[in-house]
Amino acid sequence: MSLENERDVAIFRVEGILSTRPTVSAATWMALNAQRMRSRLLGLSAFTLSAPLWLGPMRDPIRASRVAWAALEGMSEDRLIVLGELYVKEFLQNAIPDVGLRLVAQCRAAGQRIVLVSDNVEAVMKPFAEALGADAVICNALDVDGRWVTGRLKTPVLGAELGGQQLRQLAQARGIDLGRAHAYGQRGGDSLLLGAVALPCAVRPDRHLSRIARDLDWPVVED
Amino acid sequence: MNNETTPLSIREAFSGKHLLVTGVTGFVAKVWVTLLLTHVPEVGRLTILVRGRRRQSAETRLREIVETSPALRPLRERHGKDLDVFLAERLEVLEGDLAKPYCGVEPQIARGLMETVDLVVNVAGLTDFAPDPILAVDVNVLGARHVADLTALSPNARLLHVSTSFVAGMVNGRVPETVTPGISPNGTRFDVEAELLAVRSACDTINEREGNSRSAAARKGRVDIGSKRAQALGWPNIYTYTKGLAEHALASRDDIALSIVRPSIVECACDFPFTGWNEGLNTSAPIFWMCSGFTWKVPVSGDICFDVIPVDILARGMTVVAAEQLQDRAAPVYHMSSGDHNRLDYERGLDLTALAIRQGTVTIETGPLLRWLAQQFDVAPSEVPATESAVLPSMSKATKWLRDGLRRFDARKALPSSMPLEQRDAWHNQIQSFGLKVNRVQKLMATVQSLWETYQPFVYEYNYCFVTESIRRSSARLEGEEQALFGWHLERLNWRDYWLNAEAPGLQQWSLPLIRGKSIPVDDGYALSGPLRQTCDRLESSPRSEERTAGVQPSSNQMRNR
Repeated sequence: MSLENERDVAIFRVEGILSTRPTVSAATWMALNAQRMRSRLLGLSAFTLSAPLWLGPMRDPIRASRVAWAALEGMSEDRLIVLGELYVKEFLQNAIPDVGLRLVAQCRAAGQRIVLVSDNVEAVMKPFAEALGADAVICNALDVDGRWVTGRLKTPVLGAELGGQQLRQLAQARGIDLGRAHAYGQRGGDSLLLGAVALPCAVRPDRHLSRIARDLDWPVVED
Repeated sequence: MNNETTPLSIREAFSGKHLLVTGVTGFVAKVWVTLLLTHVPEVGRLTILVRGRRRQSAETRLREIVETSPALRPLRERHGKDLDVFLAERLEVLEGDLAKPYCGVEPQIARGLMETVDLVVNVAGLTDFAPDPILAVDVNVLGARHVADLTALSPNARLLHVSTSFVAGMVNGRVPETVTPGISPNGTRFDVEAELLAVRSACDTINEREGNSRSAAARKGRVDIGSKRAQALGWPNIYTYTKGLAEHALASRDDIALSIVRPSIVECACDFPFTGWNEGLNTSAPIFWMCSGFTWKVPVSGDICFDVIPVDILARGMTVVAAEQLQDRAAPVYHMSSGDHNRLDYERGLDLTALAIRQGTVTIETGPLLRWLAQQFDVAPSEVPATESAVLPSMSKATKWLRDGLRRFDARKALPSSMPLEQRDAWHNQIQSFGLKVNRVQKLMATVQSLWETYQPFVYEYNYCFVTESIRRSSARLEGEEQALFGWHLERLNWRDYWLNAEAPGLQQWSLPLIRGKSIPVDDGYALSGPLRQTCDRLESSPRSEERTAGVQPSSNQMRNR
């Protein structure tokens, strides 16, 4: 999606503000709903294997994401898209935290365009953005060969921390002027995103982001 | 400029023309006639041949269709109360019967009628895969012949005959748009007349042997013999055999200008008369039904082409072919199918069906636990044919064993005599009631197994690729608005969007209730102000009616079956 007008932009990090579910939950749920039992068992194995990469000392969110989504190799694109829609309906759409809904409504009322940022995949984020009435979404995408999911994420892979050159390139591609944008984040990893925009805001921040917000005088919304 | 590149104008081709149409009580013809009257109101006259029933005249049957069939909604919505006037100028009913010579039309009426007919469109046919061969021959072969005899009475003798692409028979690969009279799909030389005599003779023998032609055993015998004859010539079943014989019978005539339209699997409409419209039980409805909860491995080969064509795309194609015929530049055969340019296979079809069930678009009418289980176990091809599959037959045997055991079991004797009699009776009744449910499940499994075996040639054995050069070439000749309205755009069809938003909800609403023993609601609230015009009334009141009734009969040559 490209935002081709002069309205200000409000960027929302989905994880933490608009969804309390980790990205791996979507990957696992979809893998467990593959067409064949064999594929579902493989999916469960992939989730188990990726667990140390999400938690503990070996923590590597980008690699964990790649391993989790690899479980969808061999799934049809039809199934990926429909499962994405079902996942949003069942787990995301009606579970958006009130503070997130309120902030989106306020930004929309102020005439801002809503942009969602997530390390989840397009198959999930696109229907979620539609449900929320968002104008654009920046997220990962699964590679599809013919009509089969390869299990690989398209590069560049977005992790839990989005900022720097990657963020600037993505913003430019979508016509987003970071110098006039608002951004909302909840975790420490969102500090790069918040630091790159003109008007950052920490929303129910975790301890790490709370400390950064305090140091940099960023506004904080608790509830 | 040659015929292939000269622009084709649908409206010009149909303007003022008189068509005779059969099969309008069926799914395809209703959509086609509605499309024609909606988008080509320039057409001069449509004479609709309808068979009356014992308690319902042909006029009443057609009027009921006009007033209540959902297929005609676009006409009712567009014209409202003025539909009477619109139809009075363009539509008339002709009572007839395809099973009779000259479709049961009296000679003087036939003569007068056919003087002005520019094109006959024969859509009538029996579409059961394993019908009684006598009935199938009467409708599909002799019916086509009688329509052709009537056509031959008209000045230009143009006939558009709707067949099926599966007359290709038991073959694999590309199927060209040709018909070679007298050569069957497996290369056997045959004669249609001799074949018809042989089938009838074989069926008579069965009837004599059974002593009662109406008995189930006699019918089964006739179906078996019909199936064997079909397969001996290379057709998989009686339906394709009789449609094939009809094509051969028509193609060998030199007194008609014939074009054959061969649709593949006709399914729910994309958008006309409205998204999802379907009627009766076509091919996919039983497949959806069988996939919704009975087994998750179905005896299908995933890479076999699931050659579906939405009914409105077929109707548009038929309009183009009819226009070309009216201009005497139609091809002899047109496949109307998707496989050679927008291929859907059974792997994808089953995946999409499973997804439609997950979405809740197709509902499973059972208890919540079984419904949840059915939604978890998505159907997939088993890659084993129905005749070799162990799953359903094993389940069927197991339920049969359970059913028989429960029938024999007498709880009143098995339970201790210290238990009050009323309680033992109650237990016995509960167990017997459970046995009845098991019996229903067992019969259902037997039906499902039988259906898969019937479908086996098309879902497991033969991988067709029907060439569609004729219709695509014709479509390229359309320009402007007519290209948008009537052009062949099947290559743009997104199967996922179609399956989930048209096919699945369409079958759920219009077809699956029939399998579940429910009726389909019709539209109400509309009534024509009077009867539809009838052909015989028009002809009797025309200046030439006296000449026709003064003994002008079709010649004995014309009356004799060719």
